[in-house]
Amino acid sequence: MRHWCVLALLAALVLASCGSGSESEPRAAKPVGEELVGSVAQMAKCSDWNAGTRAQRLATIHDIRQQVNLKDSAVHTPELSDHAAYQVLHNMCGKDFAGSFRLYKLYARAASFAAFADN
Amino acid sequence: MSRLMVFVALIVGLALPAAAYAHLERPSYWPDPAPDTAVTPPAGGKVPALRSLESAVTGHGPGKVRVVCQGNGGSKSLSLLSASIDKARKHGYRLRPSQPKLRLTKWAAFRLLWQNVLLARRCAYSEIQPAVSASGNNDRVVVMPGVYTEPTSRAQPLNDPRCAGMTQEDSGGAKTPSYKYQVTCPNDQNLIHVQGRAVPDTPPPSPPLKNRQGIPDLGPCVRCNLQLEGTGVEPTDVIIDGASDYESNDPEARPHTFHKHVIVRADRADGFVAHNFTVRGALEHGLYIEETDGYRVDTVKMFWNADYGNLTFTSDHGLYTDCDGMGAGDAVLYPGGAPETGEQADKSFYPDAPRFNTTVRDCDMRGSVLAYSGSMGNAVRITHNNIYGNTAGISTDTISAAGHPGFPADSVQIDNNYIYSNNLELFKANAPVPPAVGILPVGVGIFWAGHNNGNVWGNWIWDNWRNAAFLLSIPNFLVTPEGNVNPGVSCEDPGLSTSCGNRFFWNHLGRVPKGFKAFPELYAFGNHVGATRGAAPNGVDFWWDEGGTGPTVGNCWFGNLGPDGTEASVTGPGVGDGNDVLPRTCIGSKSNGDPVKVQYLLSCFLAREGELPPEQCDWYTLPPKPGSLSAARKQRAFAKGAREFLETARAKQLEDRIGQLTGIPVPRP
Repeated sequence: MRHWCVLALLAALVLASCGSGSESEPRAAKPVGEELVGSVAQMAKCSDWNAGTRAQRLATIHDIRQQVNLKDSAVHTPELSDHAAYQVLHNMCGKDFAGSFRLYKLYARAASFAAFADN
Repeated sequence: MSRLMVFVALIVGLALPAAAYAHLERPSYWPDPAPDTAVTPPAGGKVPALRSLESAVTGHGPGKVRVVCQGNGGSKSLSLLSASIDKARKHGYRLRPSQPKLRLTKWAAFRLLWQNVLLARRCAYSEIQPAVSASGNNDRVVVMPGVYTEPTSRAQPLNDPRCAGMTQEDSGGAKTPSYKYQVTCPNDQNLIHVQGRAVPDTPPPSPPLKNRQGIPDLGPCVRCNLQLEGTGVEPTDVIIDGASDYESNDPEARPHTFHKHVIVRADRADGFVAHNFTVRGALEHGLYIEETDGYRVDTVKMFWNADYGNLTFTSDHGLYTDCDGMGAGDAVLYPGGAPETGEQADKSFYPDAPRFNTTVRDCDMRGSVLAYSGSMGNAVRITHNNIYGNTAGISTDTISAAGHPGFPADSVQIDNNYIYSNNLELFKANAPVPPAVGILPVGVGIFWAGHNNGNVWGNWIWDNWRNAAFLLSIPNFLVTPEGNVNPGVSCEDPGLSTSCGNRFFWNHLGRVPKGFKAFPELYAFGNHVGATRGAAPNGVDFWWDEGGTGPTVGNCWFGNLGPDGTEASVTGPGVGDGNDVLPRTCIGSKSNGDPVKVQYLLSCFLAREGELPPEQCDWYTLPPKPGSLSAARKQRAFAKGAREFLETARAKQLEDRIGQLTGIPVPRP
């Protein structure tokens, strides 16, 4: 019985690491999409998103956010939270015509209404 | 919540990170608009003149001429030219599909052939990049007919390790290729790179300057006043090609494999002229002009570029004329981050302001997701163009507050254009043109997301099945945009500074102009086309969000004529909270916002898909043909949905949120 419990615990840990997606996971995962000068933000598409794991998708959101958040230039515009960005990209990329959509363009348009995103 | 608290929230908001934009580029600056007299003739300060092919042959005028050709002694190019001349002589030719055929006279044909024969004798290059690299100020690169794939450029690696240390990096770790990167690895991303100025010893300022007026790390001209031109009968005789696996040999055939991100990049290339060629098949952009003062894109075609046919960024004194583009996954033309030469001009830097910094005229923009786009595309004039067969026509926006200096977008003028039948359904599986941009309504002539002080007049806008024009505000709470925001914004409320002072007048709506003749390209990719003579109504002519979240001022619609030739047949502003009015007078025009329309926009911008309107986004499906029973049914369903929505707790929650953000309670009609 104890043996099965250990196995179940291990299985639960593996499953958790595959799917649930904590906010710290993206640090370890690679973002999806073609890389240009160290970033996928410019080229990542919905087809890349759809092929990625949750952790890779969150890493992609972080890459896009980092690219658009030019901290040195004192630029500050409302950002989408991980949750809100994930929802927007998930909903958009789930459409059967969205494979070629650039993710950053979706993020940009949604972020213009970020003040309402988490309501 | 008081206005004071809103401003406290605004200040707190400044600590928030973030942003959004339409393309990635190094921190960019507007060039000094004065001519650079260090070269003769001076570079910039005005749109450069087009030098004739005859002068390339005779050697009149400044600069050296370098000839690029194909075949031994240009034999292949001459053969291709001969075939093109024969075809033009027999059948005529069109520079743009919407225009009548042109004839090539016997004398003009002979002269063109003879000029090419003489040029072929001087041909020393089989690829364009080496000829450009060998050129200096005032020089010309003359390209004889052929398809130029630039194998040497194509073979250069992407993300070249040689240039890995030449990125500009912010404290958050975001990297972009610097000017030095582009100069040192010119064909990393670009098939052809035109380096206009030397790389100075001084590195670009880090952090970037708030004041974007003047390029801080500008070197002397090394390739200013360069003219790159084809020598064929028409632009498709010289194709600069970044792709392969074409569906046929037709110049407009779709490619399936792309090799380079940009076809031609002209960087700080003041006085640059592009003439009589085609850029085709980029992973991103066909012709890319960056930080340039004085440029002319004249009789150039742009086909099948996955993002933009032509992207111009932070550039001044520009002219696009007689151009034609299709197959763009975003827009055919995109003059983004255009200088603040409109209502927010700093007269100490732009003493001749207000003026247009860019003019787009006599172009066909078609068969793409958008005809025209431009985040922070300030003070551009769009005139006498044919805009048809796209998912949507013109879009200028204030969406991208970061990465694009010039917030908010203002002072664009759209006049005397034909904007029609933009009903191309690309939001479907296996679309004939893969869309790179979503969150955009199909069936719209003009989509203005947060523009100020715009003038839309004298246009014929017909047969756009959703709207002739769609004006919405971008709720720019908590925004600290790229670069300084100059005084002079049309809006009165600093928390809501977009979508004010726009005037729509003297337009003809829902009626085909006399003498218009349909042509095959109008129907390309299965575009939906209504009537091609007489009345051809738009869906709702002028859709307006009525300020959306709050008060916007100075927007007005007057003197427009509808399908029956009267003002009474003009429709707008679309169904909202029931208090839906399109102001006719500009002075005193002030909106109160509309929660129904805000909800409708949120359902699309935030991809929240409810079951019924206005919580259901219908942008990805072409509306029913205007005037049909289905169209009337859809409109009634929206009105019913709007009434029901206003009774829900969700509507109350939205109104409370708007009230929190604006400090103004949402009035109930």
